[in-house]
Amino acid sequence: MSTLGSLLEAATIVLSFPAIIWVILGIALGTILGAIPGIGAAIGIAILLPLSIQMDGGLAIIFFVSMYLGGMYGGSIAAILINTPGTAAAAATTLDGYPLSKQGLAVNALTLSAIASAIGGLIAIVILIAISPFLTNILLSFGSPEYFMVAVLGLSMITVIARGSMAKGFMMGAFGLLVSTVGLSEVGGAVRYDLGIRMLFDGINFVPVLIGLFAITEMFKLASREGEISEDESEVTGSRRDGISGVVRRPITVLKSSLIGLGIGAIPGAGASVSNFVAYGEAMRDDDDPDSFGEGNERGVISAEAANSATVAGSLIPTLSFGIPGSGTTAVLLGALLMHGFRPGPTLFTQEAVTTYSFFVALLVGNLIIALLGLAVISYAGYLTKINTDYIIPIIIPLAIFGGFAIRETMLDIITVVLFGILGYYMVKYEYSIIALVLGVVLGPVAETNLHRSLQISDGSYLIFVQHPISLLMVIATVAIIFGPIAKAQYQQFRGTDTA
Amino acid sequence: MIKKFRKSLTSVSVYEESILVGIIFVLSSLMLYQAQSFGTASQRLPQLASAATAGLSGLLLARNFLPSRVEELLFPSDESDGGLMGVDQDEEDTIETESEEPKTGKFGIHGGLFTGVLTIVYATLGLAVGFLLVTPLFIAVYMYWFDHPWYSVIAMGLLGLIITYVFVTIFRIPINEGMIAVATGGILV
Repeated sequence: MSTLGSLLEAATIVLSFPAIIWVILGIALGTILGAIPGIGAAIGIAILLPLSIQMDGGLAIIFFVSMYLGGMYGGSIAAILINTPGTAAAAATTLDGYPLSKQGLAVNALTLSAIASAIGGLIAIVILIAISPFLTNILLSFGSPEYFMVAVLGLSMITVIARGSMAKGFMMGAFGLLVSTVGLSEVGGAVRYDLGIRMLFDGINFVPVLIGLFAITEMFKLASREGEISEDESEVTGSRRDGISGVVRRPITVLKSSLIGLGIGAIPGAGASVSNFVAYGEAMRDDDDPDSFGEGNERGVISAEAANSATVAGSLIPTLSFGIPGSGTTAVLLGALLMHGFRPGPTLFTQEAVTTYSFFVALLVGNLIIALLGLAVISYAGYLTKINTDYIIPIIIPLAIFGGFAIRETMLDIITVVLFGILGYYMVKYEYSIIALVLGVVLGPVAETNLHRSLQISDGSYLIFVQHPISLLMVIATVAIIFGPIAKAQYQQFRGTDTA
Repeated sequence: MIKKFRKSLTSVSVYEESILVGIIFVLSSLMLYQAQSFGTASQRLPQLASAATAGLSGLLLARNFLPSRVEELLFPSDESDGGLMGVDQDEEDTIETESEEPKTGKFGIHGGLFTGVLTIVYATLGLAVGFLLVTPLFIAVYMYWFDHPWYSVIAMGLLGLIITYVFVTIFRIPINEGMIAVATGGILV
């Protein structure tokens, strides 16, 4: 089937019942979770993931993708009204959104955010649909060595881009791979690290690991700080019309920010927490009055929001193509894809193209819903920022445990949720990359299968990874990523000594 | 060197982090040793992953004894100061407006520590006797500990009971059956 044919069929699916209901529900729930500082869409997806097992896989992913998009927009509500971004993706929005709010223009700022998010997201998703046939051609040329190298490259990129020490990131990535090896081996048939306990025969499932690392860790963190989220009263006044015209009058800012968001989103490990600041910086650089940024410049809100929304589409590129998540939420989304039997790679763009395009169309429709929902509920948005976390924490913890148990109904999964929750708390506290660990756990089986196949093809020779041009490129890229910063530091030191 | 070592011993945050890394080091070393007993194909990834984990965690534990150039190279932005600053996720909330003072409940106990211990007790009890009655108790204790009014404690406890009941009856997840119930065929619980 042609791309256009697949796209039309996908549109028919998304626009009919029940898919459209799941899109609306996903956007609404994601927006609510995103607007509550400290919660976010990843926790919601992680908890609902096991419950979606009864659902049709395609519909479940449509729902989760919509939640992801909604969460991205929701983060701006708290950023604008109480100067506390609901998510890091909306951090740059606070810089001008909150000053606008203080000037009595909160409605303008919320409208700017909703419309810029919607248009930015639409632009990005249209580009993603346009480039997907080229992406398919690239993916079709991939074999086992390339897929193994993608896993290695993805882990390297994430550990380097994620903040903190590279050695710590690699350690956690390797530890994640190690966790994934527990249980019956798919490649050799051996039962590994079962300690004679029957529960461990089937291994450690990645869903309870995700739930522990995202939901439980976040609850422990929230329980460590004061419960009342907002004591700051902010009047929700201003004009929706001015907000809409504010975006419409600045098409270049929206377009440029969308492209930045799309591009950065496609880099594993970067995500919206980076793109919103890059787009904000670019808007400031390009403005005639850069000093007005930080004091309520509308372009500041537009650029940050268009970029973070466009990042959603961008982050789907490595997730769907190579199984490399670009952020925490896409890591959970990748877990959802695998749980529902979708294997990232060329199949998603060939045999299952209609399903994949339905995710894209859901994002298109979701962006329109954000615009409508954003404008409709602006007056009530403030309530979301006043929820006390003490009422959320004791509910989320049992939900997370039940969700973990629901997958296989074994005691091991409850223990996994709690243990990884505790581990995640200390990892965050001491700056160890959670995404690197998640990536190791999720990619472990894929990496092992492809490593095994590659070595079978090459009769046990590791040279296979440098004999294929694409995998050779990835080997070079991995080496450059790992040793580049070290070489740069050495060079700078040498130059410093030289000039001295 | 001795000064550095003393400093590392007196710093609570480094001590806590050392326990975390120490556990990972011991675990991965044991896994590396055990990996030798698997077949060739089955041992490849466990060997690679456990060797990398053990090696890197060993380096982390020994970082105070590494030459400063090597330490700077391996751990360039290492600022383990006990602050919750690991931001590598889009959904991570930012730190600008976080309260400096940690949240405490009764007896001035750290909120995160209390929640962690309570969660472990909750999961253990739930596994033993089932979550149907333990969940409302967990929620009520949490609310009571953080000084919420009695009606909030009761209302949230009831909400917990309803949620658990929904999971048992609608989603058909047998969280009401603890190990004791299963072991005794439902006689004791």
